[in-house]
Amino acid sequence: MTLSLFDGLTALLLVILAWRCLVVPDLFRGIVLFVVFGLLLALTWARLDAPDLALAEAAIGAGILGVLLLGTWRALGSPRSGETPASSLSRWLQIASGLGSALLAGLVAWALHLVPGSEGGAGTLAVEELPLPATGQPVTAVLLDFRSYDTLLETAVLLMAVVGSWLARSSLLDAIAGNDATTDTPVVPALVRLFAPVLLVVGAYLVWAGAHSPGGAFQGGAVLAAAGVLMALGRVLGTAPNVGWLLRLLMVLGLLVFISAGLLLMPTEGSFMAYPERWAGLIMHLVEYALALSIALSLLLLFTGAPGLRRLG
Amino acid sequence: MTEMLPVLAVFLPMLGGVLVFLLGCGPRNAWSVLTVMLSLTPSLLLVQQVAAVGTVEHHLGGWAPPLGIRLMADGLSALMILLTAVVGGLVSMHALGHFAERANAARNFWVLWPLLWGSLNALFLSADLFNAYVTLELVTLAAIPLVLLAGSAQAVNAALRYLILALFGSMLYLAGVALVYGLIGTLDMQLAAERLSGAGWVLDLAAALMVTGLLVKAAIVPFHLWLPDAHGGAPAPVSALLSALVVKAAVYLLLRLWSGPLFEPLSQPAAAWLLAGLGVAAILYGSVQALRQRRLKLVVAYSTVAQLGYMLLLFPMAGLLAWQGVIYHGVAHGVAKAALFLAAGNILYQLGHDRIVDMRGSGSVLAISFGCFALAGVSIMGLPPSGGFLAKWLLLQGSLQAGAWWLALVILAGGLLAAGYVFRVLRAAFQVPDPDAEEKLPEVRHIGAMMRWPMLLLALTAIGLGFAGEPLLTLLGDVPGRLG
Repeated sequence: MTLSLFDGLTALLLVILAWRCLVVPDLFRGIVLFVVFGLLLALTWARLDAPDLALAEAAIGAGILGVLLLGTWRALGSPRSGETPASSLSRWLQIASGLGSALLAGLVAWALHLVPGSEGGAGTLAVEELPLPATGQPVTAVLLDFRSYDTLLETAVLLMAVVGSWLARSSLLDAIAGNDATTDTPVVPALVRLFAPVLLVVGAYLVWAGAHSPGGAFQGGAVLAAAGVLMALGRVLGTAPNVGWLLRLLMVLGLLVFISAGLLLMPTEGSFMAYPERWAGLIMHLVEYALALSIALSLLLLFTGAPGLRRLG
Repeated sequence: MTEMLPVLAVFLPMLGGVLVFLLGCGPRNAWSVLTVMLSLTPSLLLVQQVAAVGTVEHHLGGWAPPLGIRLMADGLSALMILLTAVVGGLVSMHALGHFAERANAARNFWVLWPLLWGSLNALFLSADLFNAYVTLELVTLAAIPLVLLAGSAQAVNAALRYLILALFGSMLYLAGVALVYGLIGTLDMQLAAERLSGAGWVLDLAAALMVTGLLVKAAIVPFHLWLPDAHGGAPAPVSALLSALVVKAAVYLLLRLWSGPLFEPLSQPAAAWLLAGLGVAAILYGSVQALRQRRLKLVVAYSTVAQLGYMLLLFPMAGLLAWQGVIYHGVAHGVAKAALFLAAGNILYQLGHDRIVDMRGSGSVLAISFGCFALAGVSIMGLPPSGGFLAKWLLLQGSLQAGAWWLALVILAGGLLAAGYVFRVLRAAFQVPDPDAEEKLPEVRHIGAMMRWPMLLLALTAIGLGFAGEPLLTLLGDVPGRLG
């Protein structure tokens, strides 16, 4: 790939956006800039031939994260715009840390320019070994086969994050009040009813597509969560103060299925997460769907803030 | 069965956490107790296995490195898993009593702590640079919500500060790992140790990034800012787990990298002395701060800042004695610090406050709690016949052997300062009340056996470690990697 004008412009814009995002005095504008930054970063990943990362960045980095930040901003009681948040750092410290970061970034960039890359390394091996694993897509093969252990452990993070967010909220507020959305126009609920089913289908497709093309549990889960967020905004889903057992089960379903598949087959296969050739494809699809459901629910609960969910109608 | 033990040591505790998440603590805490059993059994069996046959390995998914991930339990891993089992088991018992009146907090504790237990075991078993990053993240992200169990706005502040600094540390570590992967195309620690030589300044930069990231997570001065509030503000069992195990996990990884892939960059004299210098600064600064604190739990928290510094003195000494001394110090400090935090927590519970000035005369009423504080303090000071003494003795010998006599002076000075902050608390507690003032002995709340026994057992273990050097150091074995 040759360095084109487009790539140069994207790189420059990324730096400018990141800088503006940090220094802009208005919090709301900072959040919007952050979302734009995420989308541009997704575009950059796509240019670098990494469509999986692009999807993940767009869905999680720009989408879900943006929604969470906006939700937090609203909960702060929307400070008067133009108000500068008091910074605890002195001007000189800010300049020094900025220069230090720039220097470090420069050093790392130079180092990355010098390193030989992973020619002949694990990455090349993974692509060569591809016919063997049940999934035909290199990224999914790494995530769910070669290094499935890492993926499994990361799944546990979601559970910790949700419990942590409940604890933080209950420490700060007397009663856990969720973000039951209010809209002042009837258009939103109508649009939600139109778009939510489409999003659900797209999310499910992304999970399914992960086996042979870019996508997978994380990207699909994020899109499913986005559908949930829309439904919450459109007053189809509301919050509840308590978590039902079904919701709890769905939240840990990915973790449970993933661990069980590994542990139950260990005696016959000899090692953890080694699946028999015949069933490997089926098991991985099961794990992907269970993971996507748990990821989607956990992300949605991080947004709504209250432990439980209920149908509003 | 043998090969499965490492996997079981990671996932049985986690399944326990999921079980409690689904079903709650159960009638009479049945599920919590089951979870502790599920966590203890594979850990202890694995330690026994390593002691019997040596290193145990497991290739996950049947894929050998560099493609797959390897779990490895050698002497060092086994020792840390044993420490986690002993401290974790006893602190779990204390937690059953501590959270008895707070059902909601209890449930969340019994979700998070088993997840943390599994994550710690995963970290100690990791033989892969990226997997180590994942486990380090897991440990941090399970530890931070535990701080929130204190349920106050200050705890949220402390936890957020912890979170921000810890994420900064992870980012640095990950950047270093990316550079290493770019250099040699593998993440396996063993393969990396073989292939990473003569890589020049890029490897130095990678090492600097990874080590700085770990220092932030280990709260080494000047990155200690998050520790005192988080460890001092959390509920007592949580403080004990964080101080005894969680920060040590980051130091463990640093030692693991030193003995493996990062041996070359970290054994350059400049790097070794820079790290040791940070260790010295941590010992002196942490001890002086501990002397100045007004609240008991903060004294104990700052003592952690100081005690972690000893573990960095290894780098310039770089010999077998220093290696044994540093690891033994980690173990001895883990047990003693857990005892100190449980004692401090019990004192706080019994008196309703932990202001040292207002403790006057409470020593006679709270004899057991203060007695345990004193016993564990003996190990922290490094007086015989405790585990702390054995560790410092090995370290002193190591420093003299390496010709670093002034490190020996720092070790001795650190012991004196520790005696200062331990005796300051005891002096306040056992000061005879003025007979003329007609001060009544303070009203105290009663603590049950569940909160008393773990503290006592941990304090006794801290002393007993002074006699357990032989079997434990045999289990540890030689310095792995190029020095060995």
